[in-house]
Amino acid sequence: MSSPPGDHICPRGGTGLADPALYDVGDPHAVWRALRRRDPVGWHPVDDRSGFWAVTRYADVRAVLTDHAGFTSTGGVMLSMIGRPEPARDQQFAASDPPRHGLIRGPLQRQMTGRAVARHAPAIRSFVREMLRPAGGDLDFAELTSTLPLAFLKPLMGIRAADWPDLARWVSMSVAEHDRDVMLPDGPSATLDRGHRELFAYLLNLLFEHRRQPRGDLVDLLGAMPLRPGAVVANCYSVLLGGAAAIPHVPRVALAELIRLGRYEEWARHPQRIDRVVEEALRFATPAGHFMRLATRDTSVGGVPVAAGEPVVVWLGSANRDEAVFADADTLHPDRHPNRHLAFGDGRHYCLGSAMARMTLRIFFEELFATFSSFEPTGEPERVRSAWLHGIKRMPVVGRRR
Amino acid sequence: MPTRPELEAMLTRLWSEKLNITPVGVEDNFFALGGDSLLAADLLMDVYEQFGIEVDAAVLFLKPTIAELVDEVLAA
Ligand code: HEM
Repeated sequence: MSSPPGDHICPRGGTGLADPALYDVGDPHAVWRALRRRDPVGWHPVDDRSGFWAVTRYADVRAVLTDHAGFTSTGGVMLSMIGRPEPARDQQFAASDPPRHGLIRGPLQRQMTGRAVARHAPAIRSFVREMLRPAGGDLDFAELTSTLPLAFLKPLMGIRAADWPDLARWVSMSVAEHDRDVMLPDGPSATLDRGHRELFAYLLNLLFEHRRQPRGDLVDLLGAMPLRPGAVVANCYSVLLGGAAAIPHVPRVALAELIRLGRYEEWARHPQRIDRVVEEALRFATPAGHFMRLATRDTSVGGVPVAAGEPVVVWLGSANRDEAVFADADTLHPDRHPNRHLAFGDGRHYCLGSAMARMTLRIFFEELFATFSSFEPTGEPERVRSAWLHGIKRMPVVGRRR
Repeated sequence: MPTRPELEAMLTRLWSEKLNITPVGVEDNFFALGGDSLLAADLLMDVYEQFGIEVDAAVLFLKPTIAELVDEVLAA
């Protein structure tokens, strides 16, 4: 970093944007705001040997995400992969570049369009109603929303409700390895390895099951592709992790802000622009906080020279608060329009599950607004300690049913 | 059903092939030898195809030695 913008708002002893503590006890938005203004493409050391370019402005983030020739996904796409080899490169579509990327993603994509996912709407709505049915009075809104991914992971992958507590923990270990709730005594790196291996083992068993009894879902589709078994499992892993990790944080972060502003009732009374509510909640929360690429050649980002091989990390949560694009960017506006946020990324890697996530969130907000007339906080929300997953893990509230 | 020494020999050969190293000992850790999760999944699929046994994947991923794997195959 050329200048140390916003050092005072980083937690003590922190190492800047890569420090997971920034996202649970610090103020990442203040840090991002300062970086956007003074150091929009800045070098951030991680340790003596490594570092990354942090890209915080909307326009620069888009430029990186849409330039697949200049910035590769094959070196891993999360900061936790810096300095680790990516064994799934060129085999998992999330860790591949075009054209290879499209060969694997294409067939999945056809099952994940708006029209294709709409057939799951009735099942998702009854799942969400069941989720909300017993809730009322004193509750932890984070716990209440923790099973939301199951609404679609069941039909998409054949995942059983009984497996969810384990899966949710392994997913957390894989994306929030520094969080006290899941970190193993051996530390973050061991936590990451363990979570990852547990998920791989689970998914390989799931693949065996699908071979015995096909369900016509995404696992079967991947299993039938000309891929080695390890690659099939690695792609199942992408879908599971993408699907499971981020989505519950969208309603949590949005509701926490509505409660803070005292505007839940107003939002809940006017649910006719529910699509805009969903987009604004996505923009405001941006739970998948960053993605990484490696420069393929000497190039530049926002006029700053970047050398071949260097990691470039785009901060989606920052891009989505860029005042150059979003007026009054730090305010949650239910009616914001247009709202071209980057919560699902951009370019060829644009979230495979975006249509499913949007539909599920729409149904969730509709049911939430129809079920609860008001919420009051009974404690401070507790955020997740992770440089990647930005969200809330505990949120004590009192909810009043209509 | 192959005996333990036969299984150990077969699995040692399979591991050597996958990891491209020799020798491999029955107490060696698959991941410490340079194996990764993708290779582990390939290996279990090979075990399935050669022996017709679905080993619980957690064994190789969490207790990644040939000795543990043989125990599991013999128990199945
Ligand atoms: C609110 C929820 C979600 C958010 C915020 C989100 C965010 C994102 C983002 C930003 C990317 C781009 C990654 C990159 O550029 O490297 C992405 C990719 C991906 N997402 Fe999501 N996602 C969500 C839900 C889902 C769901 C529900 C699924 C699956 C059912 C899913 C599966 C995937 C997959 C497989 C990729 C990799 C796509 C590729 O590399 O081509 N995501 N997601």
